[in-house]
Amino acid sequence: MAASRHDPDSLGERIAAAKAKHEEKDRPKPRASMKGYGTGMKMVLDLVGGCLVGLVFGLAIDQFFSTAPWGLLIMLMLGIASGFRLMMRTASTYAVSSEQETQQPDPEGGDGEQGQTRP
Amino acid sequence: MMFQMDLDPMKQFVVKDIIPLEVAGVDISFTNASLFMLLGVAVIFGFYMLATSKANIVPNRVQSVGEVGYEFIANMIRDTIGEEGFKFFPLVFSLFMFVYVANMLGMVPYFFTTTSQVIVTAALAILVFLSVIIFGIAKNGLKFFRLFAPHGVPPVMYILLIPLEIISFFVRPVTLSLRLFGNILAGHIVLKLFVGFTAALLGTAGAAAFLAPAPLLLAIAITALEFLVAFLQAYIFAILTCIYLNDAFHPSH
Repeated sequence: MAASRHDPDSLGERIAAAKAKHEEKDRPKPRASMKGYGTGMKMVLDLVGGCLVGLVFGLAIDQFFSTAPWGLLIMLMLGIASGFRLMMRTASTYAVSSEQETQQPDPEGGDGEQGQTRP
Repeated sequence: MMFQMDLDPMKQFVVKDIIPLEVAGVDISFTNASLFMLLGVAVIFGFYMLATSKANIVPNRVQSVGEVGYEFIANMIRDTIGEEGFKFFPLVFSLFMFVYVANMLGMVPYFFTTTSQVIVTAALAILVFLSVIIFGIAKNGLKFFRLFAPHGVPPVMYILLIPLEIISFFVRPVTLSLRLFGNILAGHIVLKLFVGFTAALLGTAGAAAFLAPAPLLLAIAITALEFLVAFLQAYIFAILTCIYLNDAFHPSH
């Protein structure tokens, strides 16, 4: 027993095992929860942002071309639709990246919009 | 009451005039927000003066911290845009440092948090937005508008999708500014509420006073979280700036 412990030949293996243990401990959880938080935040903002932009554009169009209420109606619809579209896109990239995460333990961050989750 | 303390969590966000000024009917008073923005710029300026004053090949302590900041943004640009994106290094670096230092100054008690004002974050986001549009058109000409035509859809769908893409494009500065503003505002309100709750419990000076340490402990934990958020939000702001600038370099996705 003592021999294997101090055997210089197995030193590399032992270092690798110790490193793996540490990495397993260090990596993980907080990053995952921060990622969920970031994605949730992004989805909320997408939705709210879409509605806000639609509202402002609609009001502006009505103001300039005096087309009330059609500008507001149409732009608000488009704004909400694009908000939903952005949100669905975020959700699908999140689903893809978390699927990859379960398959391979250490993906490098995902694509750009998800970059916020890297520490 | 034992403690005559102001517990209103919104009071910390009030913009006050320090030097009232008015030019041609426009109020351009020097406010506490202006003061802390200038202070933030002064801190960055002072720090980098110090870091680069005795520049060596083997850096001293201050210089290496300064270089970490440089490397951080340089790598971010290299990863998201590529080498050509270094034209925008000054912009991204200034934005990151400004937001980060403003957030960190906001964590100092009694300091005003400039990034908790939506007008400040909106101005920064509009700066990014306009740089993307102006540079995108200058570099790509009309090809820049290909950004609004999604790939792999039948042209008939363009009638519906192009307006949606244009609106999505305008959503960017809105979310960019609201994210920073919302995170910082919410964090400071929560912090103030917990601390205020502690003070209010102590103020009862009865049995309830023994409960006071509970919200205090939470406030300490949230303070730590807020330091993380201060960095994280500056990082997100910088990386989203890079991603949006990338569209100006490569509009056809």
